[in-house]
Amino acid sequence: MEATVSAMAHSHGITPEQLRKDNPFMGELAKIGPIALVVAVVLFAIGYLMSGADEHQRFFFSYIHNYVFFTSISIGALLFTLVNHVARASWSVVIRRIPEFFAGSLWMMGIAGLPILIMVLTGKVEVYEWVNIGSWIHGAEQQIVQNKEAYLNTTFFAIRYFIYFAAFFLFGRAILLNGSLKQDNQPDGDEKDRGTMRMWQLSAPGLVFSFLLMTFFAIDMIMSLDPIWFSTMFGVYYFAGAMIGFFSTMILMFKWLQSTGRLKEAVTVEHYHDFGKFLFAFVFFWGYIAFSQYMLIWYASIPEETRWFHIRQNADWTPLSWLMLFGHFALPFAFFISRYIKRHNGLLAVGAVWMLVLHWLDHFYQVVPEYQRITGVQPGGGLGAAFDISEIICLLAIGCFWFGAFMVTAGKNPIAPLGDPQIAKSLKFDNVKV
Amino acid sequence: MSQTEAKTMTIEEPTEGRKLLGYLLEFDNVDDLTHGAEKVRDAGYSNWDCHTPFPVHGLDHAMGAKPSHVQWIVLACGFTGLLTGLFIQWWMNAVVHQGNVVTGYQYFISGKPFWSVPANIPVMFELTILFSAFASFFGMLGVNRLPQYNHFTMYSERFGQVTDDKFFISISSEDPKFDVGKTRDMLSGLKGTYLEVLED
Repeated sequence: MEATVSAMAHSHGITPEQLRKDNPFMGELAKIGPIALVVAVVLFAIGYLMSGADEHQRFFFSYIHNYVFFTSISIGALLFTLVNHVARASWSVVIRRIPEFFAGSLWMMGIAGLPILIMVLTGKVEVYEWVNIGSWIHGAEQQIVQNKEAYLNTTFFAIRYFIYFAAFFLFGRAILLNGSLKQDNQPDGDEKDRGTMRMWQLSAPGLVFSFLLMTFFAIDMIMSLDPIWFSTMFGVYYFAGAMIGFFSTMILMFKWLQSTGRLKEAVTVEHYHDFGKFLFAFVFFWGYIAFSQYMLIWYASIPEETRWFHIRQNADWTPLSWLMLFGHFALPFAFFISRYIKRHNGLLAVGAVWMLVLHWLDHFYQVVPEYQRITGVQPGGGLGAAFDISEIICLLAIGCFWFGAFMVTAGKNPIAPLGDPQIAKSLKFDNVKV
Repeated sequence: MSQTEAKTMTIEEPTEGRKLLGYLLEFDNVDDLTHGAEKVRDAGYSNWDCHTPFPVHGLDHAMGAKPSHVQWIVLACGFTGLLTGLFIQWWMNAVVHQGNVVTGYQYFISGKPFWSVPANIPVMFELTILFSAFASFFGMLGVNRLPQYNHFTMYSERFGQVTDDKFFISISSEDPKFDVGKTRDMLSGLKGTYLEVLED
């Protein structure tokens, strides 16, 4: 392994002409797209029909959990693409198309979220208690939530939902992906450079807006599951997880594409090394902000804030809290700190799988304990009893939809920005060698 | 940078009876310096160095520099900082007087327990950073054997331009492979512009 790694590091990369011959297309793989979308709908129908006993209440918690999980990865892709344009980064050009596909298909997650929107608007299933303050919230808490009603009401929720995905369509699809696709076969010259310049300029406001929209999206989808609780750190918490999910996905995606013979020469150990660095940075960032959120609430010790953690670190949920501390932070921190691991393709992929699983459990940890709080059901049988088969069905259903949306967006397009003005520089990219 | 134009190198001659300290080869661009460094590396020299006005990407590879050991110093000091942070808080806040032993003082703050790890983590974190930063700064100086008050390149008049627009390779006469004739022949084969002989 080391021998091939160093041999690659010594080469000075391939030329843009060679890249065009390096199989930069999905080809046959693109057929997965429509199939995955159909499978997603079928799985959703099965899961929904299977879960009738409690009026689909538990099912919707699984659905929200998996929905925010997959959406976070695509939001991470959008933010990554934006920040690379803002920084005028050249190293990332050759790997930028895959995040562009995710960012360009992010608006389709607006379709995947429609069951949640419909559930909120019809107000029949008790998931978000603020939907029906009168009968789902009792006692003194009722007044507290009523004070938030100007924000937490179904109409405004629907309007915000529309704004999120309209903006994600605008930035992810219309500006970034279409702008980049346009350059693929464009001759070099002023017009092409103007296209790049336009993406650089629009990415700065795009970054600000996308960050805000992501924050409100996290507040609406996850934080408002407990309408009493609040944390100013929550948007950043969602962001940190999103970036971990995104970089893990990128590592696995390129490993998979290269195993099918695509971009074998173009994407080198240098790019994996940088994904590893980002992953390491965001693992620490996640630990830093997750602990900051915890400590501030722990120290202030105000009941309406501590209740969120109180559920999660007691009874059945205790092991999950410990798993977050050690499995999501301490262990990966020690693992990814090593330069050897970041440059070792196989070990890096193992770490990426681990982080994806833990990122999924992180959202499980955020969403599902609220089901217990609302229903008052004490599972009592450990973490296993808190788990539900609908988790798996929703994971597969939304996962298929998310991946199908990505593949449909990729379609017949090149999977590397072949015509980007900085592509030649990107192909020569090399971290400081040792 | 064009490498097509032929370079003419001025080569100084050693003086009889003076102690030779080393050779200093001047380059006028990064590419020539990097290729020159590769040649010197491949020739097996160990007591030599490159001097540039700014950091040059990939030069440590061209020089065959081995990975630094500073990281292990930083790791050890980081852990020391972590445990120091934990210890001083335990000592100062969580321990009561026991007989003749002088111990800490328990603060009772807003109903918090005297000893609880979440409250200690910020201090542990800060001391980890502080100790690591000291370790990387002083460790870097130590591993580089800095500060050095004298170096044979200081005997050169031309060497001042290293802070401006020139690049240099210096080879010390203390290098085991150093040979007055052979080393000069090797250096004169590189794309430098001026080979200086440094003498005491």
